[in-house]
Amino acid sequence: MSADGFAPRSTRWLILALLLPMAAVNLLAFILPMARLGMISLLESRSGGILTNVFTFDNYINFFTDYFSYQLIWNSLVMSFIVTIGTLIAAYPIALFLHRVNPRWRNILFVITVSPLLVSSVVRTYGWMVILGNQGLINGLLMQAGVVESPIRLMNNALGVYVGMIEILIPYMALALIAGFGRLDAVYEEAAATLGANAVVRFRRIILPLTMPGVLLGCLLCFVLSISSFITPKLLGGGRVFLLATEIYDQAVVQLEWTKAAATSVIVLVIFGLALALYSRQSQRYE
Amino acid sequence: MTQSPAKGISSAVAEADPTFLSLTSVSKVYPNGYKAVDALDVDLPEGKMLGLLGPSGCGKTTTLRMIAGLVQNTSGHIRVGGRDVSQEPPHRRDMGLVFQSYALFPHMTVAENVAFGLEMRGISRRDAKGQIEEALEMVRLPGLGSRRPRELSGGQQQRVSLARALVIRPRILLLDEPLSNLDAKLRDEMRVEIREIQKRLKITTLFVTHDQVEALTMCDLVGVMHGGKLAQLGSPEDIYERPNSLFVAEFVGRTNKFRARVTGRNRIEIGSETFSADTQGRISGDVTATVRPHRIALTPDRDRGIVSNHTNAVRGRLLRVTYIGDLIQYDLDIGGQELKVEHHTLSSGPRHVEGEMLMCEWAPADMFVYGDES
Amino acid sequence: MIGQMSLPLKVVVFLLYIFLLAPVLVVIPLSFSADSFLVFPPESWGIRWYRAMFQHEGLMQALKVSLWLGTVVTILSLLIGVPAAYALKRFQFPGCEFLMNLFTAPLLLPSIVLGLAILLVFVQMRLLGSYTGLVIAHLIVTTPYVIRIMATAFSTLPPFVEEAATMLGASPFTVFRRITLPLMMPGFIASAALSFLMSFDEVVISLFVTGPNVRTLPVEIFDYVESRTDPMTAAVSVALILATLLVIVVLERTLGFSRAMGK
Repeated sequence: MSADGFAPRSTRWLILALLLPMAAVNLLAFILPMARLGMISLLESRSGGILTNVFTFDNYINFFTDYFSYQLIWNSLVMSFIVTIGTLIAAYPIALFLHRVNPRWRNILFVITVSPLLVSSVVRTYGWMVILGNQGLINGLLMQAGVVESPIRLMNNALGVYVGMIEILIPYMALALIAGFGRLDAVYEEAAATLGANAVVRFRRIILPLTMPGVLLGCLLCFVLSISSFITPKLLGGGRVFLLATEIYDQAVVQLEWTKAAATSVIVLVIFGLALALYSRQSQRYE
Repeated sequence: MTQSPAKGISSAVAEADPTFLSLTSVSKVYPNGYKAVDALDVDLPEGKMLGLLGPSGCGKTTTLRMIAGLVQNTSGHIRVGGRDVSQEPPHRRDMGLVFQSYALFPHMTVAENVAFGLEMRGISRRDAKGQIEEALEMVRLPGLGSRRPRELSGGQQQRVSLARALVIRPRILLLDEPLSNLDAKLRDEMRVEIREIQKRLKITTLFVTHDQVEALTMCDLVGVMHGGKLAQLGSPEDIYERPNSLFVAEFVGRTNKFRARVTGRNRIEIGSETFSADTQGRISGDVTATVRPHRIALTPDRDRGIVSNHTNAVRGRLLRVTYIGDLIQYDLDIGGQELKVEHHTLSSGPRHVEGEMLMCEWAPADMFVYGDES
Repeated sequence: MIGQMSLPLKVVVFLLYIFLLAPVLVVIPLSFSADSFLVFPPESWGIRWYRAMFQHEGLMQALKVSLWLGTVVTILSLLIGVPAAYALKRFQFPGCEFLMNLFTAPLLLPSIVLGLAILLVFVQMRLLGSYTGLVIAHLIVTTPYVIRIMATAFSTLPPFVEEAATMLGASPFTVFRRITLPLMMPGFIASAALSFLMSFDEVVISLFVTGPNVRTLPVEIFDYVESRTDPMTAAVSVALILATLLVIVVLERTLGFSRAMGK
């Protein structure tokens, strides 16, 4: 079946035939688009978004000379950072619980943990609008209880975006953590205990380092997902939260400034690449 | 911590205490009613090594884990040096535990593993360094401190685990089947090594094993456990030569077992043959009689006319001869029952051939009688 | 004892699960609101918004598009992804590793960037707002999952069973039909289920590719929520959640959910 070295001629045709459709889709919807994105970011555009064939660095120069761009990068990084850390703090106990609970419960709880992934993020974001809105669940409860007289603003600001993003990313983080919890065996905690480590020390010195590969993977995943997300920021931010991702969408779909959008996308890709590099450097330490 | 571990680990321990580790009616009953350990009483003098021996599920590991504090005993008292530690969490009990799987922290180097317990005791890195080296030297692994556990062989991991447990100068050393993951040759080596270290440090040690050779060769005292209870506690010789129950007789060493009937004071009958054995006051009733295969002498039938009253003798036909290497096993048919006999091999080859009629003899003191209650 | 769960951890996990499920659960009571605006708790009750949902032409049209799209994308994902995974796992040839990485790379890419990039190419090819364009765009999202799942399935296929069948006299076609195919079945079902759900829920890339005439359900809902906040979206959400629940139950019954997730 599997040939060592080079496959015979007939097998080579078979392999080619099997791979061709996939390669075509990949070329059409991945390689060409990415190449075009890079190219367009270097093209000059006339007013109204009409492309020319003139190469220029203007899109990048404009990006880096505009104070607003730095605001966008800063907002995106801060949001992604807070959301990633928040997701980690929320998902870690869930993953630890799933790791330790007996197998009968584990399956049910695992399904509950990942099932939100199957509900559209638009629906889940809408759910948060219901909870956080001025006439939503929380404000309704607070006003009925007489804690506040007028609704407090829980959405259409960064807070709402954080809360919604964290909730939406918990399943991804939990999956990454659970996958990385393989090395965590109770016997190491027992060994540490007999050597004099109390519960806090055991968590800090044994559990946390052993689960670090999963933590790093989950953080990378959540960071990338939050820096490129715009559905939730758009709906829960109420047009008041400006991020790289929402800017790309506005430039491309509303303003039809494709060269600008392409340049901003390349910036996002660079941040993505930096995060990936940071991840691989960190994960080597905890190999 | 109750004692400062700052001194070198090889400095001598104080006066021996006859009941340094003392368990009084210690039990572990699980919520579903299962009694893993049932009213266990054990006293272990200071500096001695106790082997807890038994089949899997007998409660020996649970006992060790209760002493370590990893399992909470449901009743009874565990005392160390007279103080009840039953309610102390494991990290305050000051005991060194060597796990069956070694449980070396995979994310730390060998030195970091050994240093961990010292760190927990607030010993500075500088002071710890000498102790770590000393501990690694003691287990004959000097210079391996910077390695990772996965770069070591099973035997080396075992030694690191021992060093890690000993470097904190624990009041008690607990060994949970430490040799069961090693190959036969290494196991023989480690048996001697662990025993020597234990004797040198005079550290009170509890050793849990299912291997009788380990228990008998390494320990001052052996406790045989069965169904959560202590079947017998005594010196290795006591356990082997004077097993107090059929379970102990069968579990420790090999033995022949016969259904027998007591016909009078110290007389029993197996089939139609009569034998002498200590019937422990019984003068009638059904019993089980045992005799060890290597305590039986075989002589060609024609050599002897009369059999002395001071030995048990029975005529048998040799069914099988099995060559094992250091031992040779003869299976004989004695009036419908099978009798196993083991002798050391000789370079001249087996002395008997299959089908031969032989006289089997053994001393009455080598035959044990157990009532059905045991 | 050690390695067991303390009460505080249990309480924290319980609260976290409430947090996790809150947005999904909260829409259920709201969908039975009879109010004209989003007020929680609702001041009046009824099935008014369910009726409105079924009478909303754009929504119903978008539902049809999404169902059609999900079905076509699922079938094509398997037809394209399974042979590729088979070729990559069963044969060794130069560039094997590279192709595997290339085919699964879109999985890692920020979807907003990928969406824009596809828009830029499709506008040239006149694929924007067309069914063909949507299918191709969704395939780039679903095929990496199919290839991942099927590659795992092919490499965990017990070795020698195919050879054993051959030795027993089975022809290559019989071997495939009687041995390989049944063993691959969980992988197929998982791939198909995931492809459908991914396509049905996909919104970011769809937002770039859809046109005024061809709109998918998530895009329609997104636009609706962005412009108006009335309880109709809650009714739509409940309908979608019920549909998802149905898929989960069917999957769990047929092969176990954890396996379907490729775990």
